[in-house]
Amino acid sequence: MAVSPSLKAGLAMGVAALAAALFAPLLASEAPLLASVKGGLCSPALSAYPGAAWAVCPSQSSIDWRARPLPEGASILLSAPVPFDPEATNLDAVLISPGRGHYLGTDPLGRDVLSRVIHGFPVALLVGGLATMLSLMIGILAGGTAGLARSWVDLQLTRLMDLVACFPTLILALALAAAATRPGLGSLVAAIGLTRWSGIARFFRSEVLRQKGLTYIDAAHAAGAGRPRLLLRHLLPNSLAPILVTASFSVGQAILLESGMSFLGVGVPPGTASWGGILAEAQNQITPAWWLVLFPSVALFLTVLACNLLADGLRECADPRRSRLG
Amino acid sequence: MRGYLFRRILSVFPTLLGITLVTFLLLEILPGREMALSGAGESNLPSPETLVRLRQTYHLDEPILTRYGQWLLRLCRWDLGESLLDHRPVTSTLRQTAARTLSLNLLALSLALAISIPLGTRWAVTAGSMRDRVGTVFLYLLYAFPGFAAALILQYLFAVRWRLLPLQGVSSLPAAAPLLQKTWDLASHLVLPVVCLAYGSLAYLARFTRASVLEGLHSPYVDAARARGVDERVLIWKHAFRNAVVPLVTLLAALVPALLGGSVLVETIFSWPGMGRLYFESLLNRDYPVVLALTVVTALLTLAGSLLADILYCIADPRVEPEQGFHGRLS
Repeated sequence: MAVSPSLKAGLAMGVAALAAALFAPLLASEAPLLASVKGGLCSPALSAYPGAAWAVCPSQSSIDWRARPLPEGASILLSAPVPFDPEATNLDAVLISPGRGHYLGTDPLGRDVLSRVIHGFPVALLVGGLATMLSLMIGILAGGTAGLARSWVDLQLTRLMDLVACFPTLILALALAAAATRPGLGSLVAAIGLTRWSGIARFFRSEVLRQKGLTYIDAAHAAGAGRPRLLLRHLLPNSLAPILVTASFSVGQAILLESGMSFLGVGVPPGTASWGGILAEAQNQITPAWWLVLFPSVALFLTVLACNLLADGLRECADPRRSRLG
Repeated sequence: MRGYLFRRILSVFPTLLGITLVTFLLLEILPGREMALSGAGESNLPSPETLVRLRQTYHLDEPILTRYGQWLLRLCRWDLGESLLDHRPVTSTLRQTAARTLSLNLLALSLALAISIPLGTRWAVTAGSMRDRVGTVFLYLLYAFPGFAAALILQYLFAVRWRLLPLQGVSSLPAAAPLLQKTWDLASHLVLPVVCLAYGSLAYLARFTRASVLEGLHSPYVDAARARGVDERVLIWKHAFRNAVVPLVTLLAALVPALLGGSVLVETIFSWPGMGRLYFESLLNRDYPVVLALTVVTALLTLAGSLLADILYCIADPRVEPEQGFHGRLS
């Protein structure tokens, strides 16, 4: 079977975004990739990863890699492609337009925009991915239970889904995020995940209702499978393709929600680079800085586009007839 | 059909009750209520005596169910309390901001429909051609572009760079200005927010219209009509499009929460004094009566939208008696 172009494009872009997220500490960091301190080779950038303590330079915490000349005995052999930390302020280089040195310019605190955009990838993908996983878990549980349960339970659960769907996602997510006792990435994930599950639940419920009448479910039931086993071992794997489509699309929407909330200042905590946060800084400027608006928007756009393409590509694979029209 | 409509309208009431319960519980877990009530900041913490007095004034020591019941009764009488910040009744604030937000949203929706329906239909008719393909790809890209980022870019280009349109707000004229001038001023302030709000649904609606008209054009009844010699334009608009309208109606209802949620961002960006901005600011300031009222009202609007969609659907297509109502069909 020929792989659809949107699946290919979506996969390529998704892998690129994932790579940017995974390698963000290596791509943009003022700590060099390879340095020599007191005659020994070490990699301060690599040591940012957990479990990479072996890469730490001797007395690394006391070395300021931005200092020129570097301390005695230390030299940079290979610096990172973007030699700036996302949070490192430099009040001598405020709002520099894109050019040599700072490829995408700097923000009002002199932080490098490219470095911040790159470090926005892990935040966006982590929040989007985890929030989607949370809403998938709730949605599959609620939808599956509703589809298999007796009519009374089904009615109540369906009502609950309709109820949650009545609240605009941004409004509910903002209220949930404000209600969190300890603001942070965890409560942000919870706020987004808890607002976005009802669509998945409704979809999975209809999927369960559709499959309930099929003979293989009867056979499994006759063989003694209980409801949890039916749900997890039979119904779930058999609706995996449409669930993957929904999940992939949902990641993009969750990332959009996250950046919207970060733009309003109630998303990722301050001190963490995020695309929405950069956009908020652009909005607060009196002297306009177009690079603060354009580049995070493009990163956001490409990531959401990758998720949408992936979703459509997967749908085309799973259901070639329907996608011909869309 | 009448039985279905009756049942559908009845089914609104449990949801209605659920909406109020969820909102109330949500507000109940919001931290910092006493602080907000006393108007204290980090620097001047209220004394324990003040706190006790506050809890008594606002009946915070009574059991939660009692307070929920009291609030519900007041809600039924459309008494939403008064704002903790400016002590104005919430209902009057709500009336003002709701008018602004709804006018913004209605304009945006009309704009989106006015562009997307002819565009989507046209693209469906010329499906497969080069122009159709380019258009489809363009719409697809547009759909993925985040609305609030587009709003920021448009604001930068039109208000800052080229100075064609006002940056934000509702009006930049004194109250005594002549009416014609004021109308023009209001219109120029409306352009960017309306475009940005319409933008998100535009791509979605056009894609949807294209798909459903295309499906209609490929169906046997259109072939039959064509064989009878019906004019091509009549075929498109009277046959294919008429049938595409039915799913479009339900889609409109699904857009209500998206538009209301989008209002928060767009109104904040353009300082439009509507419900969305008020909601966000009240949430930040812990102005609970306002947050409570706005959450309930947005949910009610969404509910009303989905009910209206079901009723319209029923009128447009009396054969259908959707078992699960509006939501069952969407998924």
